[in-house]
Amino acid sequence: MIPPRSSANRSSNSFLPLRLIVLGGVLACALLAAGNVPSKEWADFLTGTAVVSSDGSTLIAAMHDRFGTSLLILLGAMILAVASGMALTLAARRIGLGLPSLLALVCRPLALLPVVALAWAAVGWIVGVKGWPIESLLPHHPAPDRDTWQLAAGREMWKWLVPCWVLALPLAAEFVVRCHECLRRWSRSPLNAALHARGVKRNRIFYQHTIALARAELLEIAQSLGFVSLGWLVFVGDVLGTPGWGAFFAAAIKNGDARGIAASVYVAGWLAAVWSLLVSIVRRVAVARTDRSHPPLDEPQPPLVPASTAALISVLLFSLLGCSFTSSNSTGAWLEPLTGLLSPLVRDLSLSAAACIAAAGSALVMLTLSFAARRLRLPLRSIDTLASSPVLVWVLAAAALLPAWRWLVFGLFIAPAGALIMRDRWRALADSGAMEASRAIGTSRFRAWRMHVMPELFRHGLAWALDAFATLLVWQTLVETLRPVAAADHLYSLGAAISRAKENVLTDVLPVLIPALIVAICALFFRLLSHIVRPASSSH
Amino acid sequence: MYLARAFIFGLPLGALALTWWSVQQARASRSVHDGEIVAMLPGAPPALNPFMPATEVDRQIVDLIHEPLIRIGADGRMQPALAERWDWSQTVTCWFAKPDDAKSAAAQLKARNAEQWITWGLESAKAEGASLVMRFSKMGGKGPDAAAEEAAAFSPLAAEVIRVELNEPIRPYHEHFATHAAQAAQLKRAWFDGANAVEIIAAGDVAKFIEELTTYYRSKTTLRPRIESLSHIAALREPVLDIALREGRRWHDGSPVMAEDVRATHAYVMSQPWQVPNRDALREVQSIETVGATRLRVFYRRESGAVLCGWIGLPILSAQWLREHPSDAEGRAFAENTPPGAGIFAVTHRDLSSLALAPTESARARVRVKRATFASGASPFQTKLGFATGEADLFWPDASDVPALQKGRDLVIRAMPPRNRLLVLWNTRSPILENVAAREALALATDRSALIAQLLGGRGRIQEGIFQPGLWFAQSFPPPVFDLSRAQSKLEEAGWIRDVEGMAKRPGQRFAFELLTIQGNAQRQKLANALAAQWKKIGADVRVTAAPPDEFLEKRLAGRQFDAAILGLDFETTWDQSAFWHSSQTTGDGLNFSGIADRQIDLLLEELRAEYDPDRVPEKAGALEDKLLALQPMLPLFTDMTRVGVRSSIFAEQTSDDSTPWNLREFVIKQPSPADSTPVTAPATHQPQPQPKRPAPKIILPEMHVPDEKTIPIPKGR
Repeated sequence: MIPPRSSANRSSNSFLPLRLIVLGGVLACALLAAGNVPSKEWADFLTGTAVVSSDGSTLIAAMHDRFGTSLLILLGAMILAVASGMALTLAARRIGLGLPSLLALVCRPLALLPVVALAWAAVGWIVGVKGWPIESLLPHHPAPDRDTWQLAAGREMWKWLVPCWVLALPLAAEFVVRCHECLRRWSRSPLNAALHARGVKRNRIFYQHTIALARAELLEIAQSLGFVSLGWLVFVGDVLGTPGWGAFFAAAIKNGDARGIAASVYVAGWLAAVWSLLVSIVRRVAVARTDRSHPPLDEPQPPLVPASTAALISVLLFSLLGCSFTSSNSTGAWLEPLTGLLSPLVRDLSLSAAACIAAAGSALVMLTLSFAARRLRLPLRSIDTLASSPVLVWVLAAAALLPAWRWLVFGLFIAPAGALIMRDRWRALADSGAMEASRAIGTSRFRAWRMHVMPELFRHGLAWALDAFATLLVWQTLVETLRPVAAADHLYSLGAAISRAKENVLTDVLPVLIPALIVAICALFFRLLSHIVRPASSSH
Repeated sequence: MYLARAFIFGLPLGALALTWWSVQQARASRSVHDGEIVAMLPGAPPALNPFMPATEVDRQIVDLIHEPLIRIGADGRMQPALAERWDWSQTVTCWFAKPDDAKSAAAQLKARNAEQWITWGLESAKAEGASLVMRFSKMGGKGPDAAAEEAAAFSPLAAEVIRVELNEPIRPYHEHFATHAAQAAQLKRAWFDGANAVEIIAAGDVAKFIEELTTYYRSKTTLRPRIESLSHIAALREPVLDIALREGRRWHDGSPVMAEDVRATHAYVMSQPWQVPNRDALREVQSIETVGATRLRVFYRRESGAVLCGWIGLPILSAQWLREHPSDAEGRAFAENTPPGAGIFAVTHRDLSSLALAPTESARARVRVKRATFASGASPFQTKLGFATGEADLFWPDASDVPALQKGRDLVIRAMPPRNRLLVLWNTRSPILENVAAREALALATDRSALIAQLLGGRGRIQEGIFQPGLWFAQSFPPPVFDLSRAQSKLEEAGWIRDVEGMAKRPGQRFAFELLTIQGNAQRQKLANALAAQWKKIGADVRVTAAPPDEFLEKRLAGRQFDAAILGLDFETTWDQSAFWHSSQTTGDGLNFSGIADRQIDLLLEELRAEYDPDRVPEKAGALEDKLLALQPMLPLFTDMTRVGVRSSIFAEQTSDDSTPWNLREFVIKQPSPADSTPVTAPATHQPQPQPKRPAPKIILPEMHVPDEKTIPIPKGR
């Protein structure tokens, strides 16, 4: 779900909060235009005085409480996610015995699980299984004479903690995966080796040096996770009925309310800006300038885990296909509920493939534009800004207004990240020693490019495309859950299957989790394929 | 290093501990019910309009807050509420040319011995100006006639009932006439029949009076007056209902409940076209006099024991509140302000999403609930959530959820009392259906259980009879018989033999008829099709026709241009059924659409209508019902059934089952109070009265509130 790491994330953060606000405003105006709102109202909209909801509330009136609520949940979830992720990762590292890798293996599908299913499953577990309340869904107002400060405080805390934990769970899983990779790289740094050689204790090296060195990168991960969590907040708010920005956005999408959607996008720009500002403050305080060195290079991944996951997926798909033909056979009875999900899965995969092709094409166009702008010395920062923004939020908004073209919308919005990766790799490879040596021995420019740049660039592009495919599959599912689905409707998407199953989530959580798990496993399959394809950073 | 470790490991552990503590507190908040119940309402918040409750749930909430004079108890009998007792009596009024004549007549009566007075039931004879008012202690009897004969010796004036109708509100014109007319002294009574009509009783030189009246109204040509003399009378007999209110009853704001409140409530209700139950009975009120703080005397313009039913279930409001909140047709006054009631619960909180009630001081000992909260606007999912978390104790589930819910723990599903019914009305004068055996055959071929299951998802009760089930005078019927072979035999008995194609025929004629339903009502259309399919099995060729609402009522039913029609009717607590089945109602504005005209039934209807003794009603109602149903003028189908989910663990002793009507009032009351449990038998007199010449009072033909059905309004006020 996190856009693939690129140097842009590290190098293009200047004035990012301001750029995010402007981006949110521009996108909101584009959405207003798409919703046929007269342009003379845009100014009122951007100043917050335009009416955005059916009850006649202006943007400021409708959002000032929601903004605070959402920001608090976002901060709470991020703190819980980062702290829990770090604690788990460090505990696993301390125990050793391959536990860090095992933890990462478990966390990978969890991070790809559509958050909406996770939220419904949480509701099912909390209410249906445990019989606990969810204050945001059904507030309790006991008679004043029966209320005590402990009860009131407990209810209030529980109201905030539920959305925070639900949001934190997938964020923590993603953080564990990223943290595990990051710390593994930094622990192989020359400094670590030198300290180890000098007999410094392993714990001391880790806590005083490795973590200190990785701090900048961990903050970068946290920043991008914050942007991702903004998109997820929409679903958590919707499911848990949290009276924040997310629930407002989800309601606007469900009602097809262009003004509400545009307002939500505009506010999302501000939320993202505040988040990036907070991260930059923490970075300024916590990261010494000297620490801002580049991390050690990636090492090639052992293909065992990706290959075994791929094999698992193949078996699952094969079983589904087999069961669709032999559903009456008793041997396939245990898989019978899954066969109904095969057709939606195929449709979702097809749509994600179309979106992926659109994304590849868009990325190539953006790459060309980026190079052209560089040649003309034009400051083209919009692609960088778009890549470092809550892309899922923009996607949800655009897909709500252009439902028939959502595959193109997906492609257009995910493309900037791909363009940046390709651009950075292209530049790195063009400046590499191999190219310099080729030029020195008189190899033609095209031949040198074909020999030293193109093969690796192609693999990077392919890896990005596979990774994007995984992300698009999850997005596709999430977007579909916001569309109304009647019980009698033909099941056209795994998202619709989740939506349909949510009605009975209090009695049976599995129907919500099964489609989500299929999505997660499929997405993981493509993400791991991407890991296999991606070239290890070479000496180029 | 240690600080970093403490932060990294301490924060998630601290958050987990805080989460655990908070969830325990949140659970504890809900775990203590302590006599508190929370109900989750499916739709909009209750409007709390006491006179026009939108749903059965709304009505039952109103029933907790407001108190009528008389209510129907759990046993289906009348029980006193605000009224402590009531008695019927009657007055007879004669008018004389001079006050001296009236005084002489009164003196003549007073001169009769006490034994004669007792025989006549005469309580008083007073001269009031030029009129003699005789008061009799009981209804009926020969006393009034005998006393009137005594007074006839002093030449009382002839009186006449005159009806005037205009095209616009008549009250200002009538008041102007009554003030300024030369013959105004002859005007003795005026009764407004709606806004545009008045019935006047004039005594004296009535010809002159009518002449002046005609001249007055005809001078205003735009009014298009219609003046008609209805009847001539020698003396006016008026039934009087004496009601004594309970002492010490108070409104929720602390002020005492007075007789004036009852009078003001009646005026308030009649000032608007609200279709309150038994509105026709309330319309029969000539005037209401208050006698002291807690006694009132209601004068009726026509003799009918069933008019008492007008006070059953009619919430009484405070006169002061009614004065401060003028009525409006939409009942906005009730949405914006909550009138103080005199019921066992008072409103303690009301906003757009919730309504909280608490028992009044006086009722606290009688009820088991200390606080009742009604949360509205909850989605079905939120409702289930509320029940699962212990937040809600009562909810009204969707029909589709009921089977799953019935399997759940700590939950029982109950059904609320019916509000309306659906029936097929036969045109007994239709050439195809004129034979009773043919109609009986169709009834036998109707599988009502299947219709309920198929069309209502089980949310309906089979209904038989013409009265609201559960009332003390409504008979209990065995389950209706569905027997195709008997139906076939009956049809053959009527002369309809099935041919080789299975269609019933008789020489030169097929058993084909039209089943009329209302346009734009999908549920009714489905029902009509299902009935047609069922009747086809005995060879009936049924053509389903959907008529627009206006045409359905005014043209097709009123003109009797139908064979069979599906009708929806609200239940009303009254034993007077004359409007539907009396032969005088088959013409004009009458509602006897089926065309049934049977002298015996007419007599039974008249007798029942004039019955003042509630204890004697069941016998007469039973006789009428048996006689009427034997003629098969209609085929009762089913009633509505609103289901409610109740947490069983709260009130475990509630043992009623799904088939027994459940209501909120009985649910919250701990034990019936002595007042609530004592059925009251009002002293009654009995005298069959001739059917009034005027068409029966206007009645409502509401749509059947079939669940999930879009209601199509039918013009009311036929």
